[in-house]
Amino acid sequence: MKFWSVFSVVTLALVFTSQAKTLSNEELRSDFQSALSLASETELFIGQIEKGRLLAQFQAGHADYLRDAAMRHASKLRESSRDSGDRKIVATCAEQLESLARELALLSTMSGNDEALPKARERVEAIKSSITAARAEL
Amino acid sequence: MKKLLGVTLGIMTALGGFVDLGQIVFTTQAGALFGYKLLWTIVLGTVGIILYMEMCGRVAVVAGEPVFAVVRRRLGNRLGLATLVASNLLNLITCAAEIGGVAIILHLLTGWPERAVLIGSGVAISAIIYLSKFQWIERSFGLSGLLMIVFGVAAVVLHPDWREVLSGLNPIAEMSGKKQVLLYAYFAVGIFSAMLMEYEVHFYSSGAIEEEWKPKDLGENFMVAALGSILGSFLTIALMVLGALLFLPHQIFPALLSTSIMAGAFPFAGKALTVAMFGALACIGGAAVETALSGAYNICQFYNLGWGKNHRAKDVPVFSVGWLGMLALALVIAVTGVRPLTLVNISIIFGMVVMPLTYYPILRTAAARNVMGKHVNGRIVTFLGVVFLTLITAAAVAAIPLMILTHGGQP
Repeated sequence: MKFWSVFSVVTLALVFTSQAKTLSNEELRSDFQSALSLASETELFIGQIEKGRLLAQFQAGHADYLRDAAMRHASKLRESSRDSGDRKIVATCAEQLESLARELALLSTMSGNDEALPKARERVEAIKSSITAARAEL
Repeated sequence: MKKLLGVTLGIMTALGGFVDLGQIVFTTQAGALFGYKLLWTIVLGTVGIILYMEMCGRVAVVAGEPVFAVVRRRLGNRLGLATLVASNLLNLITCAAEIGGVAIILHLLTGWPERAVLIGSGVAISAIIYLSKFQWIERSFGLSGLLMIVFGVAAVVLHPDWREVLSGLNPIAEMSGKKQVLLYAYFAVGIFSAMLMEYEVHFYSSGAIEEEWKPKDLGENFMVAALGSILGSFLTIALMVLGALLFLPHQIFPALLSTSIMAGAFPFAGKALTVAMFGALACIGGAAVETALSGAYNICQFYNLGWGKNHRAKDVPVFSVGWLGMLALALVIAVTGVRPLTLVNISIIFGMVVMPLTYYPILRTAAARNVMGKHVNGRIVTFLGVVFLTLITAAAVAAIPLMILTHGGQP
């Protein structure tokens, strides 16, 4: 019993302390990859809206969840950028994620034939390009 | 007809275990990262769960002992109690995650505020358990979970390369770099663990006693365990295929339940999305019911107290307070705002650590001639049982280091 209690405490401590605030280069790459993944997921989402395959409530709800993920990710990057040597690049990625969150807020109510939809797609593509360019500088 | 409906125990057990919140997202992520390369873990997990589910059902029927009576007898009071505490903590965490998952789907279906739906979900699940007999619980969740077949149809309609899919049966895959190897191992352990989650056997063996199976029903025991698990396995493969076809080419790492559900109806119009949401709701809701009931079953079976969903609540007070308490605590955890997927990832990995302590006593009992008489394990079943217990133990040892090294499976 005693062994398992100590084992659990040590394990949980290791799991939680492994999320350090100062990001290593590998962690930064992983974060940029996640940011790109969110942007690509938004493009896929736009495609489904264009084809009229989503229900209104689902579209609004999914856009909210994606937006939350983008904002959470952006604030994590902003916190870590205080200690990071790549402060400017990290800040660029966080800014792009915040722009993505704004696009997602607009997407939550757009319909398939909305004239603003192609423009939104272009802006998301631009966000993706900016993140890709920033990642290349790491 | 009664025999046909009896299969629903296997279907609900397997769908609630195989296609719960964690597995839906985890397997889609595995497909998005590695294509079909981890298909072998689904096949391996399916054989393992059929083997142990059948043993649990047989032990419950022949020896009249459900899982935690066996655990106490084989492990003794101290280690048995530690297993009970760990298993019920995992059941609690999983139940909280599943209630969170139910709330997400109801929010996506109705647009109602998520916090309100979360509380409503907890109350609704409690009411369903309180008002329904065991058979109606398993039939309603088991049969409505079949709506998840839309995920399978979507996977087929998107035309995967079947030869490439089958190549995933080979566990030796080429990986580039240490990080990829660790991630591959993490997802292999995670999928294997999610398919063998303990609450499936807690629920199944208790269900066999709830349904008053007799030794003459043992033929059906295998059929029920196998059919439910194979169906769950096909749906899990469909999730991996969808991950590989929709997300891998775009380097998307799907980290949301809503993304996985959207994938389940991807090639179709809105009606299929509704079907996918109701299917996922039944499976995730079923998992919440399974974990809450399992928590109460475990306590009563360990302390040899009266239990059973088909008894009046006041005749089995500890059992009734047990499942209600599990749901209430799970709801409190869910309401704190902790993300359901974080909870479920913890339960999958820590569940793997506790797993040998659940499966070892079952194997020992099923192989004991003095307990099982003529229904004792055959040599092949015991051999396979030992092989799987070894795999489970190896995965249990690797689970936490992999979780730490991959930061919880972050690509």
